[in-house]
Amino acid sequence: MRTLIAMIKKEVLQLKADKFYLRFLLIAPFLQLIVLGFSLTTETTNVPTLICDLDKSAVSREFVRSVGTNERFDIVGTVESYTALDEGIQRWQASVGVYIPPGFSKRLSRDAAAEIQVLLDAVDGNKALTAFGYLQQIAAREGIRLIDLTLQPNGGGTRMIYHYLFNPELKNAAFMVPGIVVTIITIITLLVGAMSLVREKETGTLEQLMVTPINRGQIILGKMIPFLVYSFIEVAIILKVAQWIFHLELAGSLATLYLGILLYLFSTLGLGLLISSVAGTQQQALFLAWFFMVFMILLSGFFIPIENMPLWLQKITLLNPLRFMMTVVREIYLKATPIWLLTDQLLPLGALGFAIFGTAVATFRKKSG
Amino acid sequence: MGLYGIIIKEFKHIIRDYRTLLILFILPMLMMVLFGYAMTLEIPDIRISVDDHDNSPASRHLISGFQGSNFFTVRPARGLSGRELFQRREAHALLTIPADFTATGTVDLQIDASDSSRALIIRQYIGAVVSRSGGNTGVPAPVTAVPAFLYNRELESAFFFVPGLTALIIIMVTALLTSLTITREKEQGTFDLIKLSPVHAYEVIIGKVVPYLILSFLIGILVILFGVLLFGVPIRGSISALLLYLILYCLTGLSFGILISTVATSQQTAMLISLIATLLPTLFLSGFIFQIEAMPALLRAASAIMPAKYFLIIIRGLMLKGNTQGEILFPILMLVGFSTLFLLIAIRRFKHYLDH
Amino acid sequence: MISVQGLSRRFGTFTAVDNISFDVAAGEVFGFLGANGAGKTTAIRMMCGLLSPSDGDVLIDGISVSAKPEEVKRRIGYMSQKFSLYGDLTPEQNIEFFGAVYSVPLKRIKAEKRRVRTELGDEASTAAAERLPLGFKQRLGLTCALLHQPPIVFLDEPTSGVDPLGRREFWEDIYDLSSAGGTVLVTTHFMDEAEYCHRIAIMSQGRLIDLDTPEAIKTKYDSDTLNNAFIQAVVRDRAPEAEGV
Repeated sequence: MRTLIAMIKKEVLQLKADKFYLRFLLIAPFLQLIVLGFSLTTETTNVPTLICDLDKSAVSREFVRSVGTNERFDIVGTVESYTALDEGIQRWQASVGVYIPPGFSKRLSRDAAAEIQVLLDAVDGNKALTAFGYLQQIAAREGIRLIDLTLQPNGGGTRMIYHYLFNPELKNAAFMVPGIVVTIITIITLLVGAMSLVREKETGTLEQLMVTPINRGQIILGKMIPFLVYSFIEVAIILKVAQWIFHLELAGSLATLYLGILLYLFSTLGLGLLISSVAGTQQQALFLAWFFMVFMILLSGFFIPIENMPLWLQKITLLNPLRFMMTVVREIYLKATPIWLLTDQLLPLGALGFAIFGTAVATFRKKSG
Repeated sequence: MGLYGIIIKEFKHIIRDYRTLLILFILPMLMMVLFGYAMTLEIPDIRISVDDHDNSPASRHLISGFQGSNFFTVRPARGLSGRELFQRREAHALLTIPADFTATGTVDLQIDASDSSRALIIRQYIGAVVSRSGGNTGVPAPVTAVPAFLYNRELESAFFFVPGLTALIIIMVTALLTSLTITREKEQGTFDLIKLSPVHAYEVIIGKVVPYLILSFLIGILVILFGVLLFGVPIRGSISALLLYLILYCLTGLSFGILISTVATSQQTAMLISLIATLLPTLFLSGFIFQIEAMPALLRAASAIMPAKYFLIIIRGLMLKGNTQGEILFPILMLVGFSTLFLLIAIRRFKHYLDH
Repeated sequence: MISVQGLSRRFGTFTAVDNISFDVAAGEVFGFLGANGAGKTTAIRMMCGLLSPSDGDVLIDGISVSAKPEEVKRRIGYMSQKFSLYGDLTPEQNIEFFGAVYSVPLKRIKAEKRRVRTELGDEASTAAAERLPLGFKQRLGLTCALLHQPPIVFLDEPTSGVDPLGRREFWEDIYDLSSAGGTVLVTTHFMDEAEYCHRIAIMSQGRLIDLDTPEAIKTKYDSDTLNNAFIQAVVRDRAPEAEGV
């Protein structure tokens, strides 16, 4: 016990000795939270748009006005020809070009139907599609307004009353913040964890350590416990900060969240330990850890929903502890999902943690003579 | 030792560390494959539960609209509330058709908005089905927008991510590599030898940069080639211009790495700074995945100083839009500017370090 | 105290240590010599429990290193050639750490810290151990190896890089240890130091080629310095059989 405490104390002292590192571990999570929380918007707003209105009627001008006042679009200029629209997009001046052909208003009043053309820079297909979606909506809405149709109560269409559950304001941050929390923990525990043991190998202190009566369990625990504590504190702080900045609150149980994190940390710290045992130099450990980290994050459902992936890839994600952790944290954060409805996530999380950590310990044992 | 000697020595170091080399080439490949097959742009499957209290031909007609569509999977509601369904992750939306539907024509929809962007899209899709099936007038929207998707008519996701991944991978790898190699020499003390020899600071830097420049350039070409051959991404502009700016971008990343190495005291620190300063900002603030225009002013300003942002415009322009260099002059100038700036500062700081 | 029995270690097809056997008595200062690459370090690492033997065993105070390594580790102290304490921590913090790991009573830890502080001065003892001059680093290494007052100490080239004065002080410490009953196994390349040992063993190409008192070895190779004797021994071992003794 005394040895374990000494080991933990040493790890903490070493951390304190490296001033930069210390500052990084404390500040980085917040920086990331702020940057990511605000930048991670999958929404499309302020899309630079060029207008080419060859109809120049009251109706077309009204339409242009409704596009302009919509926060999704930012009208950067008007041109006088279709080719000019095309060029404008070519030259990166705008991502969307709206073309209202001459005779638009006449056709609208005569046939109760008319077309506008939309040029979209599909270099970013996602952005193009979303922008188009919004324009369609505006077109439909404004079109109805423009020819002054009245909707019949049940004949002209069905009314749909909709409610957004758990996130009524559709705050993007609500979706991203939980993900950021877990991603930050992953990055730090995996990267720093992987370097920790290799560093001792490289500097020769591991040998000195192995000559003492300390056993491997104490070494491993001694290295893990500071990270565990750090992660728990970080999570608590980030949640608080997210509350201030984004006005988001943890809806569910903090205890369940911590349980999930604990199980998850066995995976990340275990993986770090494994990498540390097989890597020869710090650089190798770093690259290996980075490799795993990138894939864990990409296949976690953070950027790309898992349901969007092909089936074979979805099966692969079942080996990724972050995938389960991501679901757990999101469910608890936003939907207050209770623990008994999360067993299908927590059990695999635990199993993976057990397997990875076990392998890591066995490898360390084998590699250290 | 001479400049040539330094370069050769550095090359030998790189080749000897085959594990790192392996990762450097495999990682981008795997990322490409992943993005290529994983990223799709449509929502393939919306799970919708329907609670029908009306049970009339009209309500059944409405429900059939979902059953017949590829986008939806209809699940029974099992008497659970929306909240309960969503917590069990059994459905994304719950549609409740009240008993008086035939009279009022009103339905109630609850959507799991924990994924806010999806929620919007789910509402649009469901709304489309509802309005299509409801009423027999089938009034088409009076004003229809006809889209023309330029440069990427099929909306191939590969067109989107191949340039982006190139930008991301290159700057990550270059900054990491040079910052690590110099801090490692610092840690091991081998710089003392160099300090004593008549070698100039700039010779040392060029000696380190050249091998890594070649290495990162190869990786960049590999990524682009992969995209072109495997996913059919075109190169509509000048290939030589593309290669030239790829080299320039690599140079920017390498200089940045050298800059980092002059402030980092250990390899660990170098690694961390490289990562914070490259991976995350590039991923989020370069315009690769998330729209810069939608961000608050402060972040937009930060984005303006990212070399990756300008390179992204250049590579997208040259590959997808077939831009002439004149049309993307501004980003080119910015990239040249950053490159020179980083290189000069790096050399100056390094010289300072070597001289004392 | 130390009983090496048929110890061997192979790495693939290469035999680093080839069936060596010898005994070291309690209180003895035992010199372990050999050219670079002769297998000394591998042998020592096996004796300390850092490496498992391919064949044979080592008994430390009657306890088998292969069977009960943890128990053996409590009874030995080890100082490696390259500084292997925590360079980013202060000397005092290093002492506290190793003291705790060896279950050293607090009183002794305090006393040792005080001693080091007086020797190094306040400034040095609270700075990172990395920054200490080499001689001080070695002394710190020795301090930490002896914290738990082990009956056996392994010293791997403890004085390399230290000035003659420092070396002499070091060997005075070693003699103090030995007179108090401690067993010291030391490797060195300084032949004048080897003369201070009670007995020396010479390893070459993985085998033990000589084991006797320094005087006896000098006589055997007909040299007045141990330096020459050593060189002769190794050269002869490496030469073909024709050159028998």
